[in-house]
Amino acid sequence: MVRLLRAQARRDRWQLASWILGIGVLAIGSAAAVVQEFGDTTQRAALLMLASGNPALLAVRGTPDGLSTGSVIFFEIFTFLAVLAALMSTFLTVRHSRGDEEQGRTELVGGTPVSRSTALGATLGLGALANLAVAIVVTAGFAATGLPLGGSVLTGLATGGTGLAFCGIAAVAAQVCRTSRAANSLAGALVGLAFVLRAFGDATGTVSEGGLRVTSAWPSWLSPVGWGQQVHAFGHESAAPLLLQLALFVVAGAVALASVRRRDLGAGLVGDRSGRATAGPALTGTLGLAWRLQFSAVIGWAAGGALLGLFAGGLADAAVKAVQEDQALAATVRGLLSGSTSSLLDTFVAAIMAFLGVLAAGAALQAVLRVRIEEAEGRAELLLSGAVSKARLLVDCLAVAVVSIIVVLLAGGVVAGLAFVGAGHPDRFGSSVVAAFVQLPAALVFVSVAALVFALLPRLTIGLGWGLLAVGFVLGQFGGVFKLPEWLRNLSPFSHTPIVPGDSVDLAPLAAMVVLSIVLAAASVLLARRRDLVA
Amino acid sequence: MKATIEASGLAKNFGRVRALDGLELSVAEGEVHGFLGPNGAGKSTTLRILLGLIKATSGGVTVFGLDPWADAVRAHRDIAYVPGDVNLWPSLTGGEAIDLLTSLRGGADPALRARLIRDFDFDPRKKGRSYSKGNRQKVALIAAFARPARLYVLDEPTSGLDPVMEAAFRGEIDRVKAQGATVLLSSHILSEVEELCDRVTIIRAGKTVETGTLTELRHLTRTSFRVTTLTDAAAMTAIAGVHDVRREADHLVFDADTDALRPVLQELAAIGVAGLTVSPPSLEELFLRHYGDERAREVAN
Repeated sequence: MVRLLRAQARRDRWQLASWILGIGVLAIGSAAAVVQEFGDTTQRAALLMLASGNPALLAVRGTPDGLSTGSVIFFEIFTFLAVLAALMSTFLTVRHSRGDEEQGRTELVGGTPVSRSTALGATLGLGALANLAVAIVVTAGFAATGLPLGGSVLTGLATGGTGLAFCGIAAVAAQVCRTSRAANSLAGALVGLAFVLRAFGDATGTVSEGGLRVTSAWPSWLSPVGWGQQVHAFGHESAAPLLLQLALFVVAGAVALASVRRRDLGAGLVGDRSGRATAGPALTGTLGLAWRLQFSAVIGWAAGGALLGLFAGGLADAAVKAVQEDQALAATVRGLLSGSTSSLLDTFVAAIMAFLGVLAAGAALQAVLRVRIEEAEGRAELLLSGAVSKARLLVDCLAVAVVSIIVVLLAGGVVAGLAFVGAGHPDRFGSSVVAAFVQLPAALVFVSVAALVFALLPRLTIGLGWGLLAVGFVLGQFGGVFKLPEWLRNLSPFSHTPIVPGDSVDLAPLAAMVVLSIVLAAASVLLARRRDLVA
Repeated sequence: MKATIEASGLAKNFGRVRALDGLELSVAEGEVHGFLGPNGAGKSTTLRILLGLIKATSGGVTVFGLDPWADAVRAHRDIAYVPGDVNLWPSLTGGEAIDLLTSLRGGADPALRARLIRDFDFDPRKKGRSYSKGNRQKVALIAAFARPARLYVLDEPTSGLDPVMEAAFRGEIDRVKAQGATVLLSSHILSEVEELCDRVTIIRAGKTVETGTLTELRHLTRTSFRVTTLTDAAAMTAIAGVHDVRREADHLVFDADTDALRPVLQELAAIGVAGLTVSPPSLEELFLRHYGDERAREVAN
């Protein structure tokens, strides 16, 4: 088992190192930013009072717990750290369990004198070690900022504990599903569910201590991310919720191990149904294929978009109401938003829609990267041996990418609009849809840049494509939090999306991004035609 | 005869690696042409150039008289291709993949498709991810044969098939040949090439080393003799064109060039023979002769 664990760790060394390092950088960066930005108590009090009166902020960030610098940092960043650890653990576990089984590596190992459950045991061990590393990195990051050691350790353990819990959940998902793709989707959806449950529980929590503390409602206690948050590091500290995370890991891990001992290699609880013997009318030609391959993914992205829409439309009203009821709070909010001519409601909707834009870009990127996956896995060779040009293959994927953006934005915008209508603001339907669609140009830029990379540096397409989106996301959405210089933030297309709805909307950057995208896409099609197929 | 494929001085560099180095290939219309060479000789690279998937670094190549790089789409309407390593879409069923691939050339002949699925004993309802290598290859083969083409380019098409399916495959080659189609078949399975091909091109390290009909090539090979006799080996060694004479217990073992067969048979008649095994020259030996010297050098190093 130790040898298998070492082999798995070796295979993952770069990948895991970058996850762990990324989480550490986020921890130390955000801690430093809060120390700098909210140095004195009045600023922190203003922030917490703003937050506790705004369910949407509570939903995104978590619940505040007292005025100390540490607890404000914990409030600001913990949920993000926890979700990252959860995703790292999910991918790690599925990669080494169902992923290996799918690729036939489990069969290879199974032929040697080790038991059927040894490999999964090693994977769970690797997950535990990786999350221990996460805990250490987060603890060190917080402690390095000068925060008390006790709270830092608690934050680290809560982050690692969330990851650990999702190692167990993903191990079970890998038993249920027959493919690693399905297992990743299932476990990933559960990470999302954990975040949403916590968001819902925190948004509907009880405010106390004059707006400095919020106690989560019961739904937060259904979520491993919520458990992590309930350690209330640097505030009303309690290590007990860590036991819940550990217990979930142990129970789920045991279930997965028991299942792997009992079932056949390659079997799952959810089997493959046998499908059509002939292709339907939609699956003729490469455009039909590109759409077919992207379809289920688009549904997933659009569901995420719809959820954000619901968030924007459904919670905005409560947020505004809370502010309106409290004169002092209203004054604080106005102070914080000085310089912005938009109303609080508009700013709130625009902020959520910015996240929708990232989702749309992700969906579109997945569609356009598909052309590289087809090439790398040898299927493009089959397609191109038919009467299909290389340019056509790329153009079809670009078309599906654009459709993906539109579907995701439509889902988010329309649901947000409907939620506003339901909340008694029929006038905001149109502006919500518009707010969603101003995100389109930035997403197009990511698509066309990925296409250009595909044409010029095919082997780097996938890594660079997602990497650029991640960088763009961080620069665009967190650039302000990290106090990054403006020129750096301006590198991200997301930074050029205007705040809509708002009073003065500058359409020039949108037009510029659309033109840039068209030029880049056209160039990539021309260049892709001229290069060899690269495996 | 018109040449369906004509390649001369074909070279291809991948970075610093020279995959093809002045390859010559000529495939006449209507013939089944074997394309032989060991792994890494450049067979798949050549086929990919013929399909315009990659561009030759230098040299001339035409398929149906067209430039396969510039006129890829036009040429492909009449080409059916089976790659050496077939990868399918994990979420598409085998049947869907077949229909998708044939739709790119204008759609399958339904009756032909149904018969091929039956002959190849293929279940088209399963998802692509669950097929074995042999079954994935069947998808590409059925898709290739389910719509008539003028040229079939097959890259080691039977490497994952069992013997029964190989027979079905040979039946299809015979059928399309009878219909006048041209077939280019790369392989290192020699029996397959011997049975199916009219002419053969043998390549090594990106160069053509031999081309011709099997009869022509057999002149280049030796025949193995295994004779049960107590006579001394000296008489055989004296004949020009006899090689590697050695004694194995009761047997005298040697190889003879085609030109030396007559004196060898006369000598055998004279010395008195209790038993005789003569092995025909196979393409295996052709390979050994062409790559044997290289292997000897490798061993020496």
